Parts: sequence; C-alpha cells; structure tokens
Amino acid sequence: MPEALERPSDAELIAGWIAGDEAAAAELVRRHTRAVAGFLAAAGAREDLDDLVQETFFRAFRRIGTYRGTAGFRTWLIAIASNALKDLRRRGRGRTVLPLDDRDMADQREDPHDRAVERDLIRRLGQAVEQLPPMQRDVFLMRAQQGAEYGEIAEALETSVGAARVHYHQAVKRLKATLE
Amino acid sequence: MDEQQLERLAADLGRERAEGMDPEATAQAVLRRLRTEPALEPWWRRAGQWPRRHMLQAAAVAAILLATSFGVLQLARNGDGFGAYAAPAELEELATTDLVEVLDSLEIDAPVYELVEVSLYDLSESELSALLEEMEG
Repeated sequence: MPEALERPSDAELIAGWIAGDEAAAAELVRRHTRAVAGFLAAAGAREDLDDLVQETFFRAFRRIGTYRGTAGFRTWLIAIASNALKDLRRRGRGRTVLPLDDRDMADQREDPHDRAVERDLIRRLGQAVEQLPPMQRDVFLMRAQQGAEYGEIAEALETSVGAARVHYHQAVKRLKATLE
Repeated sequence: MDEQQLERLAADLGRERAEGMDPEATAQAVLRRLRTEPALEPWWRRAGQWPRRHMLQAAAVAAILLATSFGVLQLARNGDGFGAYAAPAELEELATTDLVEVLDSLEIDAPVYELVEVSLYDLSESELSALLEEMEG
C-alpha cells in the first residue's frame, strides 16, 4: 500500500489525542510546526518564535474539545497562534521589532540584481504586513501564505465570509499602496 | 504589482525561519508541558471550591452590576432619548479606520459587501457614520 494512503488524517490524529494517544499529538505537531512558525514569523514574532509555536500547540491540545472541524486544523492553529502572539504583546514582551533577518529573504533567483530586488520587496512586504490591523494581517496571511479558503478563515476567526473577504481586500490594497 | 505577485511574495514570508524549526523537538517540548502542567478546570467547577467569603463577594458584585444596569436602562428609556443621541456622539469621535472596523465587526451579509465592492475606505466619515446608524436602526 502506498505510504500516502497509510498516513492518518488530522481528524484521525485529533480523535487519537482526545482518546489519550500522545503519539497522535506529537504527529500533529510535526505536521504543522513549520506552517505555524511561518505564520508567526511573518506576523512579527522574533526571538520568541520557538516559545510561541509551543504555546500554540499547548493551547490547541488543551482546548481540543472546542475544535468543531469546520475549519481546517491548520487554519484553527493559526488563529490560536495569532491570539498567543497578541497575548505576548499585551504582556509587554515581544515588542522588539528587529529588521528582518537575511534568512527570511527568498533566495531562489540566480541573478544578483533580481535577487536583490526580490529581497527588498519581501523585506518591505514583511514590514507592511506587520503594520496591518491584526484581523487584516491574519486573514491576509491565512489566505496568501497558508492558502486557506475564505470559508475556513471565517470559521477560524469567528467572522463571516463577507467580512473575511473585505479584510483580505483591504489588506491587499494597503500592501500594494505601500509597495508601489 | 498585481495580487498574484503579492501572494507569491507572501508565501515566502517567514519561510526560512520556519524551516529552521525542529518539529521533533517542538513535539517533545509540547508533550512535556502537557504532562507537567495541569489542565485548568472550568470556572464553574473552580467556583465550587471558593471560600464562602469569596462567594459572597462575587454575589455582591453581581447584584451591584445588575442594579446599575437596570438603572441605566431605565434612564435610557425615560431620559428623552438618552440612548438615541449617545451613539452618534461616540461615532463622531471615531476615525475612518475605526468606523470601518466597527462596520466589519457587524458581520454584514454578502449582498451589502457586494454593494460597496470592498471599498469602505472610500467612504467619507459622515457617510460611514450614516451607514452605521442606518444598520443599527
């Protein structure tokens, strides 16, 4: 049997964790750690990234009973990650805004000029994303970075699909204005 | 810059730092916390364990809040439209961005959004105020 068919779904792993299977929880963390970290890094997490990722999964597993399964598990995690970041900032820590590390820059183009232009664009985009209102930032990153559909974004952020669309288009409008 | 280019760049945000994470180490750290940090009981169970003095204090605060709310409600009903003019006065103090956020938070159904074509920011403050008041009835 191909390996892909043997891979348990998120829903199966969640059911496993609810039944007390730690291995199921560990697999969910392995599967989604980098997506959660990518969101948090783009949303402005700096040296707290490791702690925030752990906190996100910890909160998710503790309140797994509230996950209704209507949004994707990853999108639900992203919403929890956003709250964890907000709580950290509210406590007065994590406010240090450092310039984006060079490691954050896409480095796929061979031409030095193209690469420099792309790096500059990503640096400016990163700064502009951090300046967005939290709801616009979350909707934009969930859709543009994580590829989530409006329906599941709305479900995860407890808003309507129409409102999610508005937030996304407002974010795009602001980002384009900043970058142009 | 078009939307596709923006989305392509956004997909790269934080990518390198995310790839620097160790998912296995994160999984083990999360499991350790789950084993060592006790789960909080729901507040209604914790409330049953409060000392009697705290229970009485909480009941007193709830009674005061209830009485105050009732008083304010009566004032709003009998005080020459107190409630009616309070809202516009507050709205006038809001900036355009705040008004847009308030409008967004009302979770208007799709047809209204289609009507404004996601351009609430294009409305003036007075237009936004009028729209909000209209929707609040």
